[in-house]
Amino acid sequence: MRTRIGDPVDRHALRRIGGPDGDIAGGLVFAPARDLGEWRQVEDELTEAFLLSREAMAVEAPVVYLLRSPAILGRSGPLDSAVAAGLVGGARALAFEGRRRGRYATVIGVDGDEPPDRVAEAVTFALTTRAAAGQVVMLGHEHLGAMLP
Amino acid sequence: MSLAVVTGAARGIGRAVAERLVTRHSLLLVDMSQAVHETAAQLGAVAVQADITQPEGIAAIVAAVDGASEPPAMLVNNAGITRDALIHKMEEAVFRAVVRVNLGGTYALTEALAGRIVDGGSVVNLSSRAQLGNVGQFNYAVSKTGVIGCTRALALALAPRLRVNAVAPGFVESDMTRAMPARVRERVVSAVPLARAGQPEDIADAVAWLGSEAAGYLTGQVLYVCGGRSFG
Repeated sequence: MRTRIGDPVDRHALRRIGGPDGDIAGGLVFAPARDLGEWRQVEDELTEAFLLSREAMAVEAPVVYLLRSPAILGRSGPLDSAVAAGLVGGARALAFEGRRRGRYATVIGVDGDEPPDRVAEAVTFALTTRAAAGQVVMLGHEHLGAMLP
Repeated sequence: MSLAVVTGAARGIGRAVAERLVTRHSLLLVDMSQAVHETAAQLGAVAVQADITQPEGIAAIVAAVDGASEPPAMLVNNAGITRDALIHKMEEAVFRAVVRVNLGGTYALTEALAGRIVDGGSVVNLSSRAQLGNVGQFNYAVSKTGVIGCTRALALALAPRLRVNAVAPGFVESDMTRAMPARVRERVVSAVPLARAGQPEDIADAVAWLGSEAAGYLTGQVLYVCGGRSFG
């Protein structure tokens, strides 16, 4: 499995299920960099997600965007939230466009307090079962009481 | 009257928004198209022909705002483009272009003008129902959901001084949609519970309401104006 993980903690959590040189035919996990300070970084993060997702879709591999819950909810800087919410829309678009061919994309939201093994288990579950296509699956508690975008 | 700034204002939804707001605001209309001058002349507004993806474009808008006789009370980020393609045929340049205009332009102009908008003022960003899923619109969906993320984060960052909300239009009559083949258009409209295409004025009414005191307790929200298509 191919991973492109912007955060060292997440990279560590997912090292046993894939890496940056992994075979994308086994799936793609993309986690954007955080604490973005300027627009160019947003465009580059989203473009890298697009290029890797296009590559994954070409071989009908499942795609998981691993995002920070506060960013999904809007409880972060506007640039981090723009990337996170943008990828929520990206997962919906991929799942919708590829629905008749069984293509798969989804979002897993993590709040930062999740044990690494639990994050890896959730990613593995999503990739292997292709459950909750085009949805946002939130781990932890950050999202409770809040509306998703 | 206080000032309202509307982008993508030369025609379509942006022009309809300007026509709605002209009774309660003086207007500064922004568009890349030269047609913005004609629209502005018809509405007694000031025109700025500028590209919101370029620093000099943002600077020109800021200069026009600073030169106005009153500070802005409302910003409507409406400028946007589509460049549809299936994901496997979508080129990087096309992806970047859509994200840069729809999301980058919205962020850049809001960042530049937020400090100039009067207390109690409002920002309304144009998202789209398409962010819930459409074929051939990965770039558009990313940009328009990104607008929602930006809207929510800015709503928290700028509260309680300013309100920031979004409108998500569905299928709306435009030069582009009027050019669609009849059978495609009929298929799209048949999926709308209210059984018609939206008019630019439908969207303008929602934008005007969000910017008014009647919506004074709303911030960080997305108002879907799509004839029920967001769930039907």
